[in-house]
Amino acid sequence: MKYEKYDNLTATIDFLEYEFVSVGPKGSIPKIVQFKPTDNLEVFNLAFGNKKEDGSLDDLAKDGNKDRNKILATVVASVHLFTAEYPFKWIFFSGSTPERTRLYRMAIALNFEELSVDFEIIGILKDLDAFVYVPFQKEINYFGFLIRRKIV
Amino acid sequence: MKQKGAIKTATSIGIKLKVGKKPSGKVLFPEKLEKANKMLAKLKMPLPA
Repeated sequence: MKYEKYDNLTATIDFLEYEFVSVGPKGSIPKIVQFKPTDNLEVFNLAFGNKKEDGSLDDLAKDGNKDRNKILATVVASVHLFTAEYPFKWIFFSGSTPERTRLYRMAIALNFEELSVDFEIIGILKDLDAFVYVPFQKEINYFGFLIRRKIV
Repeated sequence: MKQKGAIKTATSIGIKLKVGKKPSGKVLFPEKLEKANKMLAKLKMPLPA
């Protein structure tokens, strides 16, 4: 992505969890990204949020550290690292709220040209009581997204 | 062999990657995983090959 990212990451030995620290006006805030296998063997779920002092996690926090784009670019970096180890797996992600899912859609749209060099990106739509997917398009509000490294 | 993928990638994208922590073994964001599983269970189309 075009944005600056946090360049110090720690990873677990299975490359499924990544940690970094957001730094800004509100101080240093530890962040954690986790890729977790879903019931579908082909798909991992991506989630991230704050690691609080008491050890609990929060994926709804609004930190005010004024580094939203830097955090998103760092999460994208973790996607690069994960897919280097698990190149055939799909990653599902969605926001904790509809607003955040929309934010992710806008972030993908802004960086689509660059992201689509390395990744296949599809959008998930709710269809009555079920779900369907379509190739990512900029102006659609999605339920979530699936992304996979392009196999070259 | 496996580690070379992410470590090499980290260097190429400008990340200083420190590897070595043990996995937590926990589902850190259970609601998110549940949301993914519910969606996948109701996905009407097979994933692209």
